[in-house]
Amino acid sequence: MKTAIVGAGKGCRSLLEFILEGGLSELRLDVALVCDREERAPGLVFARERGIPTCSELSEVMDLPGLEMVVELTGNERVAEDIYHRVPPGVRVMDHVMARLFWDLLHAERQLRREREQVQEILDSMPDIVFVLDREMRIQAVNAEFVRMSGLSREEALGLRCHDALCGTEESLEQAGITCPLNEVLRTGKRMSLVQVTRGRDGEEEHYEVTISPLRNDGGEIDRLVESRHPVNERVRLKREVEESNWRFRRLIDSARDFISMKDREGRYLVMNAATAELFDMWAYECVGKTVHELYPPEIAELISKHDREAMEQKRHITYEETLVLKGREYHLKTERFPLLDYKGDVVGVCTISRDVTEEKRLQQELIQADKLAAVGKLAAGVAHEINNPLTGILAYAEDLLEDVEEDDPRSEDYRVIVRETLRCREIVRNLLDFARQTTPRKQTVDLNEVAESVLALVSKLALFKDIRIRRELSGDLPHVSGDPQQLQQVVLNLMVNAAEMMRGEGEIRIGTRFDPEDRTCRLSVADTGPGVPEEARGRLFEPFFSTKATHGLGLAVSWGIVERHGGRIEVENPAEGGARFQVVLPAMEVDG
Amino acid sequence: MKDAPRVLVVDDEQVVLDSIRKHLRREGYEIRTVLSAAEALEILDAEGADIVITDLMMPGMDGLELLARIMEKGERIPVIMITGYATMRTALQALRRGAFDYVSTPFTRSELQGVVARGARPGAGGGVGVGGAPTRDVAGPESLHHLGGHCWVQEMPGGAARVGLEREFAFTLGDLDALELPAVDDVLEQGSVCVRFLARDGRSHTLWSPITGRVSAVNEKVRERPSLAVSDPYGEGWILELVPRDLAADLAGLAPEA
Repeated sequence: MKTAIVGAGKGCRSLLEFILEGGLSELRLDVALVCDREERAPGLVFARERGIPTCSELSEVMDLPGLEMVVELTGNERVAEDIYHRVPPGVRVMDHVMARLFWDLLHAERQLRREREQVQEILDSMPDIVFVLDREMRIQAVNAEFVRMSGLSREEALGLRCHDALCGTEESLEQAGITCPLNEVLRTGKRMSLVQVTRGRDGEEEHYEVTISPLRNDGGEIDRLVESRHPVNERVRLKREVEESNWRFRRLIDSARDFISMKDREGRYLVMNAATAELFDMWAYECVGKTVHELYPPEIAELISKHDREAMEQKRHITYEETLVLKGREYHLKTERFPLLDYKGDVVGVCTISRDVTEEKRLQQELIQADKLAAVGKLAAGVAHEINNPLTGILAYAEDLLEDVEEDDPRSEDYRVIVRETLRCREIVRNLLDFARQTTPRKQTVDLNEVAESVLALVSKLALFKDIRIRRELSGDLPHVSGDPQQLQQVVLNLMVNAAEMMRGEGEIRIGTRFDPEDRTCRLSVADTGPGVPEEARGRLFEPFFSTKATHGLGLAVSWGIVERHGGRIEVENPAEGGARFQVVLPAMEVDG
Repeated sequence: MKDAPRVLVVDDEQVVLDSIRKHLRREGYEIRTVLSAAEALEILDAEGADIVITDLMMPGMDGLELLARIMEKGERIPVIMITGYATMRTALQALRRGAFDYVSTPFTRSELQGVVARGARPGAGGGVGVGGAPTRDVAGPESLHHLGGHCWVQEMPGGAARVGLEREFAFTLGDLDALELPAVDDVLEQGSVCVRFLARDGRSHTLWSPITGRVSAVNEKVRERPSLAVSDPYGEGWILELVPRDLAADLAGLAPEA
């Protein structure tokens, strides 16, 4: 529409700017001329700058060929009057009052459009899926992320029922008997958040954190719902990974027979495995948070704390050999300690892995003992063989001399001593050979109670036992063992004699038998009320010819050899109530059925 | 008076030869000593001997082989083995193979004199038996296991094993004053001292245990009347009973090699 503007004030300039920016494009205004008497009016200046023709006389406006509309912006009633009078027929006139009105309307509409666009822009800028539903769960608005995720265009989505667009089901959740959270919000009127699992288009599980907020109309009634969905797949995956790795860690440490734990710098348990907790008859979780001092007897706790500190201070791996007595059992542990570091590399605690090497140690000692015995046996046989002929000579010459001297000759006593002591040598050598001779036991089914009884019958005749009280503590329910009854009697007799000698013939001997179901062994014990076995003598007690003040000779070594050949062992201890206790431990025979 | 019995002593160690010579010097024997079995055989071939005392373990030909050579000759010479305590099982084998007896080193004067004196008696070496029959062929009841001319073992019902003297051993003991029997429940090792016999002539003689076991009974009749062991060695004169540890193994260990 070919248009001329009359009056080139500030309003004119704004209008021109607006039109040139593309405003009012619907009206297709083509400003062909701008007229004002004042040559320096802002509208005229602007028009000239933009190459729009200008004039100073109204007549020029009226003469413009093809003019379709005149816009009067002078604000002067007379000029407006004049224009109405002079416009050619068919040319429209918009005076400054109308123009003002039109301008205001234009402005308001533009504002509104801007605002709507901004809301959509905000929605579209959100990374979450956002959409708005009416009370019938029809989609009223969606954002760009919705379009991207659903594969529906904005136009396709609008008006769809929510479950058609999102749940991918024919029926709504309510129809399927499941409470739909949207209805829940409608009922309660409160915003709610939840995590929903859906199958994506590719069939993969997708996790969303869904938030549904109610929107209310002026009357305060809920007329719409806004749902936003935030993908939390990564978070769920992370959470699962953490749970999984936690589970693996627990499986690992709880399946281990070693004692595994972690403590903080104050000695408080952070982690403990099941094997360790069992030491205290507790569950691992009950022990976490407790300190070593709360769980162990003071002296052990002190030792553990000391070692823990060393590993933390020295910041390195240290191996310890530790001996703990817990609930009357002695544990020999090989413990690895190393500092627990955080992500920055700072020491925040200590980790320990302890292996129970009690049995290993015992076997090792038995092996050493067996080796020693075998070596001594060989040596003894060799020495005995070499020494026999010289002794034969000594005896022959000494007895010869003895025969030649008169009975009252002072030398005869000396010769007798030579003979006596040579015979003593002979006895020692023979004992040694008895010991060295590794007689294999002739095994049969043996009742250890019978062995004990037969030995008790024997010792009751011996002078050594006349001032000794004997107490029987024989188990009425003892499995048999496989063994040589005569050799076993010899063992028990040796232990009884040893006990009597340790007590110097006065005191009490308790002889007992019992079955230990744990390692399926039969145990025959001989306990005395003597001074006990000195600590330093423990390891050497079973060596041939090792003697303490009260005992001597080969008895214990022979016993040890016999029991060893029966697949058993002899245990020695000084019980709390005093004295010494020797225990013959033999494997029980399996009972049929 | 007949000539002094000739004793041939064989040992690879001079001190043992000298010792034996000293022990026996007043016993009225004619003693020759040699350092090897080969020399001994030469002397036996050339001159013969009434008793041979030989070491069991010697370099070259050992005592068992010498014994075998002597047995091969068919001469009934009592052969007394000298053995260390450690090799008593071998000594028992020697008895089984025909040795007369053994002494274990180091031995006392009376131990050696006792056994040699028995060897010098008529009947030793199986030379003369009752009624002139060779004793070693008189074996008593069939169920007996014989330990050469030394003793016998009989399995009894109930698992015990009875031990008694062989006639050769019994007849060379001479008149007995007493027996030193072990106590019931004592454990005897095969080849160790089982019973000591105290003879009227003041000598003592040793019966070696033929098997290992625990003494379950002793024959009180023999204790009271020691001569019973000599007069009825396979019957009333049995000595003791043992509960054997492993009778079969003990007897197998004594069996002569095939």
